[in-house]
Amino acid sequence: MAKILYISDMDITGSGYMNISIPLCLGLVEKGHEIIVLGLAYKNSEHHFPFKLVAMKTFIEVGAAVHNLRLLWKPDLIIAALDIPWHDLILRQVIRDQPAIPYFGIFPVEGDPLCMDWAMILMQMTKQYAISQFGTDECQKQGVMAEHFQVGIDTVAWRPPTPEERKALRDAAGFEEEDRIVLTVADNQERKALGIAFQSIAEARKTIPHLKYALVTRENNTQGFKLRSLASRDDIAIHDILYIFERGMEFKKLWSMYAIADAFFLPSKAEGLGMPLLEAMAVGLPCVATNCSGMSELLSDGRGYLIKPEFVYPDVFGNANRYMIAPWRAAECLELVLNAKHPQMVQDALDYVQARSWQIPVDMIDKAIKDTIK
Amino acid sequence: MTKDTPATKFQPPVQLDIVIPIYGRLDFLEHCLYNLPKAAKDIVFRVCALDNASPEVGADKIVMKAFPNAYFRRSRENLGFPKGCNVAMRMGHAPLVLFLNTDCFLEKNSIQIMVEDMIIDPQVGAVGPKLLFPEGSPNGTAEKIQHAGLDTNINGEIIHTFIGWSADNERVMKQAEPLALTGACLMTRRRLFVEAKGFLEDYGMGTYEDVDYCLTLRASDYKIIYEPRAIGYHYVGASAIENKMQFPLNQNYQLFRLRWNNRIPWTEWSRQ
Repeated sequence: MAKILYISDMDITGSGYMNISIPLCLGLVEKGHEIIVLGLAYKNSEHHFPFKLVAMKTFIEVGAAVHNLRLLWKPDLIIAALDIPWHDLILRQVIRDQPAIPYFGIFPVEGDPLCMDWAMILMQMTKQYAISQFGTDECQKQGVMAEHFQVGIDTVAWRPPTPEERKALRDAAGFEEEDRIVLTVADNQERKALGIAFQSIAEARKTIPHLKYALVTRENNTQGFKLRSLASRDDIAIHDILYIFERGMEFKKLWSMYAIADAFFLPSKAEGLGMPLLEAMAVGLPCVATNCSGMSELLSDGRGYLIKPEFVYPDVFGNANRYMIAPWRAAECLELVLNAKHPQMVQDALDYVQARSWQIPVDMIDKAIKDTIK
Repeated sequence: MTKDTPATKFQPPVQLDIVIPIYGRLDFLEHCLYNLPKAAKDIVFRVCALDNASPEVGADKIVMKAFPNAYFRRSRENLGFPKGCNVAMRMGHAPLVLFLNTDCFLEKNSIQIMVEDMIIDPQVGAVGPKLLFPEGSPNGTAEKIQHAGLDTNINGEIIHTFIGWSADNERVMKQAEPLALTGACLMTRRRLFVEAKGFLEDYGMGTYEDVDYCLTLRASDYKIIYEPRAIGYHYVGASAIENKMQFPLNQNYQLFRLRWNNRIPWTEWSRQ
């Protein structure tokens, strides 16, 4: 049994990291490990997890907490699930404190190629885990011997609705039988390309009657789009076509959003993995996404529609390539998805997600812990 | 002493003085007093009440009607919470003292449970109950945690651990040793309180005197116990809201930091 100090973003209003960290920590506790989680963006809301969860406001606080806990609690190792630049901030603190402590990093690689500065950050870790095969490959191209942390999905909770459930949910939400609902679950930030999403929907509605667009996002992100203004520009009448929902909704409501939809659409310019795609696949939705980075491996082999990017450009935030799709091409894909049934694609996707059990990454990390601290 | 004890019979010694500083909200005072016999169960107690120059008169009648053997005193001026408590505490002689705000309503057996904690372990310096928000409190959701002990975050700031959580959450249900307890309902030993020279009166109208006292106890290796089996409801700031009082929060925080800087441990992590 190891004492694990775990660091991640634990924003309960919507964080991909939290969706990874909670199942992993639950699995590791079941294996007998003791865990304290330093939760960035966690605001002391009530929980019942079998591990300690301590609120951290900033990375400076995390650094102080790591230092203090190494004296007070004496953890055997640190596991951190963060973006690569944030790992850098933690590693600087960890390296300063002696003796050295093993450090496992879990991270996304959103775009290619992995820049050398970031590769050098990763090289300071005891173990590197990229959350997609794409990310793992990109690391290895730069000499970082990362392993693939195969993010799991709870297919008992994320399940297809019965026809009766689906009808009842659609009726309750006020949708007609002939309505065709496209769903996007994505934060309102540059990488998610919601502007392209709106243009694509505007294009698609020319050929798809009764098209509706449901978007679960963070509407008032100061660095994001003014979504309703953007919708006006693209002539998506707000109450007619577009339904915006604030992220952070409870699980049942979010599942209901997937359950009432006819297709899932993720036009991101890059994704470390694309967790909402896994959720949509598990609920039995045909998916449409950009053919790039983490999204490709999820929808390849006929498990979904991958949109060929129109052009590629290097981006300052991602320190890597971003892939832009053309709205007309996305509209074509949406038309294909919505105008026909796709039982084989949906079944292949379901089989794929069912094979992605959380037990796989939990066993992998558990073994690595035992090998490292024995 | 419970109010039903006949005066002519043998009177067992008072085990506990319940110190109640009063400032307005006499409706709350009545409710607070009404709950005491059931909360104390078999504990022999005496009420030591100080009317801290309430804008309303009549507190004496309410207290003496509920507990004819109570000690009551009215101050000509508002002494503030720390000094008011110190003055009221000196009226009694019992070995244990419970400081209780008038907007704090204790449930059945709560006082008895806290007294037992003090008796069982002589190293316990102070005990506080689980306090919930009552219906109608503007400060929090009814039946959710108002107080389950005070701790420090990584910045050394005092926080109400588990505030807003469900009363039956497994973490809240665990007896614990927090950094400090709220003075709204705090039981301690008279000897220790006197040795510490009571609540520090430099805190004026109040705030931080309770944390300061608990840190003083901790510095002498006494335990501070959060007792979840003892339950109460705390409206929070009833007198202050009614009378538009302002507490010197920033000033007292500065004083607290000056007194305890570099000696405040980070405790939040151990309780989460």
